[in-house]
Amino acid sequence: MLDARYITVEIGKTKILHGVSFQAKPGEVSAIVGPNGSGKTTLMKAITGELPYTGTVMLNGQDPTRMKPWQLASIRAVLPQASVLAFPFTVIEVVRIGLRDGIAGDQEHLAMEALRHVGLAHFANRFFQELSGGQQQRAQLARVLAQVWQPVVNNVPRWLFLDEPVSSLDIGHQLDVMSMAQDYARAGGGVVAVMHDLNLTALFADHIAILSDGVCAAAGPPEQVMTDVNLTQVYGCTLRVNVAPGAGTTYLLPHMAGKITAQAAQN
Amino acid sequence: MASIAEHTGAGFVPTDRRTRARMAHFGLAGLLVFASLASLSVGASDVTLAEMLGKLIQGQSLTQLEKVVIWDIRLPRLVMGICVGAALAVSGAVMQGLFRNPLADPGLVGVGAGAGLGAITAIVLGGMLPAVMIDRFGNHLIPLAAFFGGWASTLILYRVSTRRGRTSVATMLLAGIALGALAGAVSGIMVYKADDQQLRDLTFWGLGSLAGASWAKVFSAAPIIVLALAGSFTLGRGLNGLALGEATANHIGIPVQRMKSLAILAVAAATGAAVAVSGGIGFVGIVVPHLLRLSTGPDHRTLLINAALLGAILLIFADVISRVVIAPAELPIGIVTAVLGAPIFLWILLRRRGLVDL
Repeated sequence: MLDARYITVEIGKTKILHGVSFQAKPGEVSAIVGPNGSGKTTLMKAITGELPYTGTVMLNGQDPTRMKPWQLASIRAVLPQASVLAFPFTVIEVVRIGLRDGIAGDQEHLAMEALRHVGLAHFANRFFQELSGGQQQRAQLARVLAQVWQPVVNNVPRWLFLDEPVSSLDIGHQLDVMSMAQDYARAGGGVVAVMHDLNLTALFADHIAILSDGVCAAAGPPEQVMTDVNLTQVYGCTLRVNVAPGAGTTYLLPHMAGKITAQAAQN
Repeated sequence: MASIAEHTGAGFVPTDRRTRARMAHFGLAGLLVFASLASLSVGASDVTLAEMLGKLIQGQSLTQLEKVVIWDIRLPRLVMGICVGAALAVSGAVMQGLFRNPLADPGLVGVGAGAGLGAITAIVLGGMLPAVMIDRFGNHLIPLAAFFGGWASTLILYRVSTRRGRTSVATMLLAGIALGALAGAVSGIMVYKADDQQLRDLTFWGLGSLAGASWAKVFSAAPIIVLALAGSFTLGRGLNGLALGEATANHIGIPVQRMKSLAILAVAAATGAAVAVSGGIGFVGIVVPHLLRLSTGPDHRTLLINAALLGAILLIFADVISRVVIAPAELPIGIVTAVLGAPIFLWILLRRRGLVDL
């Protein structure tokens, strides 16, 4: 269980988050959505300890700030939004950086398995910096996956924190990555992802929190949260939520009512 | 989306880079033995190692001259060369890892100058300390002062150029220039205050040379350097993690703050001790790690050890060259490393030009 309560973050003199509470359960994909500048990434960074905050965060019943770095690293891995890398490491070397020193053969196997998972096995020995943006993102995802490969260890769930994991991926890889996250959750692990694409979120998330101007506007299962009223209010444009016939998938379309009226007025 | 590399196969690296890095430990260790023997055989007097070994095998005793040349002149010089070379190369590699940039080098960014200021201050003002202290710490005074000078400048440099875990290289280099200039100016004041004997010490020291090597100097610097190297060798995984950024390093379980403090301490100690006994020997710290990264990859767990070995080898060979080129006189070793190192440094800059924005 991830339980973050009354998280407030100030950067300089600006308050970015105003007492946001956010819960996520293992076994579920939990998504944080919201417009640009609503505080999604800030919430993620507070929860993962990258930014100072007031409020409390508990992960599996423990306070992460009181855990040793290696203890924390053994139960949760974090995929940053932007990937940086100094020095010419190869793709497989990048994946191995995330692993604790152990039996060399096992590590090698695990790193390759993670790369295979994201479809980059044949790039293992390329220089990371020579990959395209989307490939780099997948390579980092492999690193993160390898770090907490088993979703549950000794009955304790492990966690993936993904900050916009699909932002530079094509639609095929977006679906791949999101199903991977879903598989991880179905196997008992916890997944928390900051998402931009609402349709993708509707497709894969079990729990959604919508942020708006640093507060949580709504939280709950998709069918409760993804409503015309909620989204239209938060995003400031008319959105219509529909359910695809047959599959029952929730999807949404922007409603160009404003434009249509303008055109109609011209006629 | 697909990069050019995907289609042309450019940038393919043999899988056995790790194996190669580990093999290099042995290769370089062997080369170090060879370099050491060469260093013991060459010098102003025509005593050679082969001759002496021959004598020893035949059961003859060595002449007094031979004993003095080997035991009191060449051996301390060799040991000091190994220590200084390893210290410079490893502190270069650690600093580059810490700043996440292959251009960071204690000599370039003012840490050497800071250490130098410490050493000069100790030479000039050391006599003012109470006699008891001089008796107790006499030998260690200069290395200690150099260490504090190096430590203070590394700390200032890091604070100035790093904001929220991101190091600005431009700021780092500029701050390094400012620090270097400041240390130079204060050093100038010290030189102005120095008496004749101190001036001679300063000049000799400032040239960057192993010529003044003695067992006393070795014993004053070697323990600090050995400790600093041992500390540095524990940083391998941490520096690898830091390559992914500070936040990510934290997330993969590295105690980043503690590791950075240790890295800064190790760099200051190694640079300080090396500068204290040998003056300003440049370019070892930048050239050695760069060559190793090209050949065996950037993994710091093997890089740091190989840097110690290659740094020692390079400095011993440079010292041998400095002794033979204009024999029986000798060149200051700083000149040799600069002549060899500066072009390599320029070549690194050329390779990076256009690839990475400084």
